[in-house]
Amino acid sequence: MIFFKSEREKFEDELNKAFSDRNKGNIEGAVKHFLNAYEIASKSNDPEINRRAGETIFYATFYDALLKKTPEAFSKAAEQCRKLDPALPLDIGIAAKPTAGELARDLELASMIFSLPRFNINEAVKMDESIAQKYEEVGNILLGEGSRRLILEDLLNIHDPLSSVGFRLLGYARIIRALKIEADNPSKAVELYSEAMAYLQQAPPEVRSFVNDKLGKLSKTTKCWVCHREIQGEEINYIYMPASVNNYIREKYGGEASFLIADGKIAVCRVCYTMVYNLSDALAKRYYELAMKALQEVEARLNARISSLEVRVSAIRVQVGRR
Amino acid sequence: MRCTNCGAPLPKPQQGEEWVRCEYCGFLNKIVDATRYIEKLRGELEKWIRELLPSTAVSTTVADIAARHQIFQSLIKPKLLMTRANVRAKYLQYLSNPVTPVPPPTPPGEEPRAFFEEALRVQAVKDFAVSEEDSRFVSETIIYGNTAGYLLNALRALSKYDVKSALKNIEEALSEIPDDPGFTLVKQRLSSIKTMLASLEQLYARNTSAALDLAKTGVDQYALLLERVGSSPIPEVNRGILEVEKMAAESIYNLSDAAHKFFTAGRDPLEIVRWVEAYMSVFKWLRDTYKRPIQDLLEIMVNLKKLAYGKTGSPEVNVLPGRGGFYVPFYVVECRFSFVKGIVFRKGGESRLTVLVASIPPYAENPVLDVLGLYTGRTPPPEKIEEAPGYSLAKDIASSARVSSIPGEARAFPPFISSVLAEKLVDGYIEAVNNKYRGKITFASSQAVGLVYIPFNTLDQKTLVNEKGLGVRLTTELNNLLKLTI
Repeated sequence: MIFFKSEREKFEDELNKAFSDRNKGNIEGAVKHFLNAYEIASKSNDPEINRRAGETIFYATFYDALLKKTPEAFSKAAEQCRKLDPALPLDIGIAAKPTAGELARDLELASMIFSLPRFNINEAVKMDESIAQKYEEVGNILLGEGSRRLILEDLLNIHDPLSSVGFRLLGYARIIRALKIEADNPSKAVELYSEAMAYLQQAPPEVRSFVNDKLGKLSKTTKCWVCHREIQGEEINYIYMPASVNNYIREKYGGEASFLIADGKIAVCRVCYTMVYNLSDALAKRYYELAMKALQEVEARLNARISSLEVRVSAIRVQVGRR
Repeated sequence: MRCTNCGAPLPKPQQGEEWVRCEYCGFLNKIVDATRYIEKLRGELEKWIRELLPSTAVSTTVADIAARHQIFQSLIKPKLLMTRANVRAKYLQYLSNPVTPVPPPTPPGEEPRAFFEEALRVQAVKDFAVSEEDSRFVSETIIYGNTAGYLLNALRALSKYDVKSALKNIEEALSEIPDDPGFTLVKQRLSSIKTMLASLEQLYARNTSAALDLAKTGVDQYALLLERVGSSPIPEVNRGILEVEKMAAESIYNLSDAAHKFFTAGRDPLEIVRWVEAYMSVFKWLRDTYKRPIQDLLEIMVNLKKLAYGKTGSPEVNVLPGRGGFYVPFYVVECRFSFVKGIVFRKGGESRLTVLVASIPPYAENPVLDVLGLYTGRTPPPEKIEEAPGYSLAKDIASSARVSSIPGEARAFPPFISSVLAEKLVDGYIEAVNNKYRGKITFASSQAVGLVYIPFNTLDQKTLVNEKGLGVRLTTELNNLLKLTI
């Protein structure tokens, strides 16, 4: 005897399988079963099932987005969510049951957040203005959401209030811009880093300490010990070089400019430093080449001598053999 | 005279006095030392000017304008450019951090003296800046130097809860900044800080009504300033900082409200203030350990206020009926988790449970109530969690709580943590349970839905027990925690 399942049973069956797969952590399986349920619902003549087609396709796109974590996928899920009755409660596995209306906005925001490249302070120097603009744009949108948290926070692992995330993005935008101009316009870079610092109140400590360190160094203006020109930005436009600095020098010249002498080292601007470096490099190279040339001559002479000695040894061997 | 410790101006000493206290850093200066210091400064200043200017220019103060302008442009300005760049950078650096009494700042590593001395030096050549542009250049440099100095002093004072000195420094910084459009927003920010500090000063003086009014004004000032700043901030008045300072102002408003409630009920309002002071080290520990944002403080202050109301007869808090000398707040957290069940035919399931979190970490040994028997070794399978020893107890407590007040004579801990941190602690607990389930849990989500004060009696100095059989084991003796109760 063959039992045929009714349309409703098939629909319920697919839904149960989808939720079961989701609970098992098999999200791909869940997406597949939600799509199957959608197929049944969308073709069904049963108005009650047909009415649920939108809900099931939403679940399929939603879990697909969680799987792919791409802006496009979240955007698609948001679009499906907006088509639902805003008051419809949705079961997305979290402690609270959000409504479609609440979730649609979160999905839009998730799409924006996932469209941003991951910020890594060590890679920030390679990021360009277009990325800074993107951070700024999304940051401002998140600020507008206030201090609420995402409904999807557990699923996306973003637990901070949206305003904090927004401020952080604005801070990242300032860092990218400051890194681009710190050598050419240190005063402006100081302003940008100050702004970044202000925005990054809730940022990871490594980012804050990076900005703080940059601010500390960039904010120093001194004179070059060699050319006496005013120069701003430690380790960017000037460096400290070891020199013999005694008390006499420190007392007589140390007051000429702030930060001129630090830990027994003197401030030397980038130009003078590179000039001395290049010159000493060229001199070293020149003497190296001279030394190498002399060595090669000695080597050639020695080789010639060895060859002549080898010839003589061979001749002696021949003579000895004959005897 | 100038203070030998911070370099700020000293008040005129009374005749016959040997000592004078600095109003900005609180340092007690021996007059003879302060005189020696100002003479040394004067000597350095003269030396600096001699090096800077030709001898003829030093002796004259009535040189014609053109000559003064020439001297400023060719000799003074090149030197001041460097000074200005340095002090402006520091001014920006210190203004890019929040100036808040709660939480108190970490004391800055730099000395304010260098900034005051720098400003004094620039002041000495002010007369040479005759053009409008040069005059502005000089005044701005002096403002940057003095403001950085006063801010450093204020931050140092706040790190020690010395609100009075902090207020004095902010007031002085404000008075030295002219009404110039370029400084309007900075002045408004400093003015908001001043109001916030003035509110606290009134609170320390037990003028709770004035404190409450000032705190309200402070919050309004920040709201207005945030509107004015909009999306085009200047570095020293940045939205990020303003939001943090506004949260501090709102925290002070709630604190003042709590203290005022205590005062009107005939209790000492300083009890509330002292609680906040004692709690700040706990808050710092929580922030460092769990990487929590400053927003948490606002929620904690709101809960403190509600407790103050609850302790003075207003039904403002959820309380579990029963008797006890100590009330511990517990967050009620609803948790839902998905898991894999079955051996051959593996299926997915889900469970929901109510978890209670004692909101007094780090002083509760296991802040999350062991609903699933993790520590007792009697954890039921995930599909049968209702069999767990604490399952019904947690549900029962959550449903039995009623909006009520807390007896005035009982001691109560205000919650030390925010609801978000309570959820995070539950997530950690579920993770530990999952180890026992060998990774069967695939996803968990928690949501704090309320806060319940549960009455406890002391079994011993480290153990609290409730009539319903709930126990809390403390990590330190209860006597050491009394300052964290109200």
